[in-house]
Amino acid sequence: VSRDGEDGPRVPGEPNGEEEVPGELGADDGDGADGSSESLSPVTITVDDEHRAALGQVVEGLRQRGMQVDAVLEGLGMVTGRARDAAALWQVEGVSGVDSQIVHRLPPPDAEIQ
Amino acid sequence: MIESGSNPLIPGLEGGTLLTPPETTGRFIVVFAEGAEAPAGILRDAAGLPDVVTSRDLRTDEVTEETAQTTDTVFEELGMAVVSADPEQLGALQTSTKARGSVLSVSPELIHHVRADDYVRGYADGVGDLSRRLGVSGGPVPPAGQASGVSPQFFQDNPDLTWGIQATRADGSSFTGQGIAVAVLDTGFDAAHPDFGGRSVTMQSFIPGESAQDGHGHGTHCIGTACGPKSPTTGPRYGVAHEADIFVGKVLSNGGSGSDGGILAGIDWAVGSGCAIISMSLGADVPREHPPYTVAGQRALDRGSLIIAAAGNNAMRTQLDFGFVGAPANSPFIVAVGALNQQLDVAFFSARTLAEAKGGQVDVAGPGYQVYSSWPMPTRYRAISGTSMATPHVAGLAALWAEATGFRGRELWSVLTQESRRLLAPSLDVGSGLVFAP
Repeated sequence: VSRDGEDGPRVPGEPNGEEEVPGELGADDGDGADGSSESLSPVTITVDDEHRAALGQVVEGLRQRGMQVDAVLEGLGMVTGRARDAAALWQVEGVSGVDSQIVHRLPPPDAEIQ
Repeated sequence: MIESGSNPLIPGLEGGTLLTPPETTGRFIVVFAEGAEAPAGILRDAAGLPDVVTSRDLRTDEVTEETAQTTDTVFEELGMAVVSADPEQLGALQTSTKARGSVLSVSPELIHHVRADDYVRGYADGVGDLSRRLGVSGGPVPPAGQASGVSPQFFQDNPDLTWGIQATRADGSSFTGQGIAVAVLDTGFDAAHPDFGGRSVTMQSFIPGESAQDGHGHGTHCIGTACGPKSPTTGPRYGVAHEADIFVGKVLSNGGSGSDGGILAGIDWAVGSGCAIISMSLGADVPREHPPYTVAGQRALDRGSLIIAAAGNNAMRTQLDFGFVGAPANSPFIVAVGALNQQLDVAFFSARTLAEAKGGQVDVAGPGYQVYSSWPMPTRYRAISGTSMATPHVAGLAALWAEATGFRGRELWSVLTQESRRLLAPSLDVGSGLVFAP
């Protein structure tokens, strides 16, 4: 899985095609992409194995770089929340992944196929 | 399972698959029980075989063709021995008090050949197949179920059992899921459903502003399939692990949607609660691996929790659109489940392996067409289709296997695929096949 040496390939903020995923989030807002680009987008931070024991420090670093933390998932070594500048979160020591959150959607209750 | 025509002297060989009886060497393979002490001593004392050497001796000494053929040898790492013995000695090995409990089996040593005759056999098969396709001879092509040893060909709900419970042989299992915690991360659960009175149910919502009560129906349906009762208040049995402890994680809203944040929080909660199985009938049609689920799947496995997720319903096979496994099921550390219909064919909507992603394969399949299960009151029951319905079948079966074997995490995954029944459908669509109950 993602390790320190692998920094860089997944930066949601960069124009590398990853924008498709946040695009799904934008669709959820219904107001068009322009409105959501100004707002915070939901992100998932993965903490590397070496820093899982010191999760608090990583969380502090994430906050300092502008992330609004929703949940610290100690069992998984992950942090979820929202950020305006997701790319900046890569700079926090111990971060091995920064990913935009995907929305999962079920068909309506009366659908035959779910 | 063993076809008629098996050679009674050689148990475990399916005679129907061999053109000639297997050749044997005249020697025998002895399998010792795990932890049996001093196998060489047992062979000496119980069967009177004096010159037993261990594989360790053979490794240091020069092994000649002759010693390999004649020496009675114990393979200590394997807990086995190859011996030349007469019938009396063999009998003593299986009955003597000295060997009691230490010897599991004694069977003839077989001669294995390079399959030089495969070409000819393959040619004959090819001609036979062509003949059948052209209607020249009447040899029927065995339908999927028959070839895989599953019968009947068309499963149907009956007054006692849904077709899925029959097809997975959950009804014949002596295991119940007792003592196994199963988390279903979905739209919640109808806690007032009469079929779940007296059950251990722990509910937690990860959707802001909504309780874990199911305002959609999907979650109650999935929980019913995975953990529903052996004897519902009315109608057929639809649940697999009927004594499992139920953990309801609401990660999808009453409107049926949720994002990674809530789902990962639900996984974290389930792992922390000691759930051996985490069932997730959810996903997004993302044609690539989504890294957070790779990490979450791996770390959950490290903690002894197996995540089982729906492959997805984005195929339309009637129009030759085979779809692809979406996230999170396309992560390499998450089991992806495809859906079968009552004939054990791939359901028309069931997604195919995503070849571009490592781990994007369908791993196993389960009943996922017209699946009858619980639904929030007052509706009470409903039949719907989807890989969402196949997934909790597999989750419930995994709970039975967890109870039966004590396995968790990767070992549990391994036994599920190992023991699943192979199908004629492409592995791209059904992986290792239909998961069976222990």
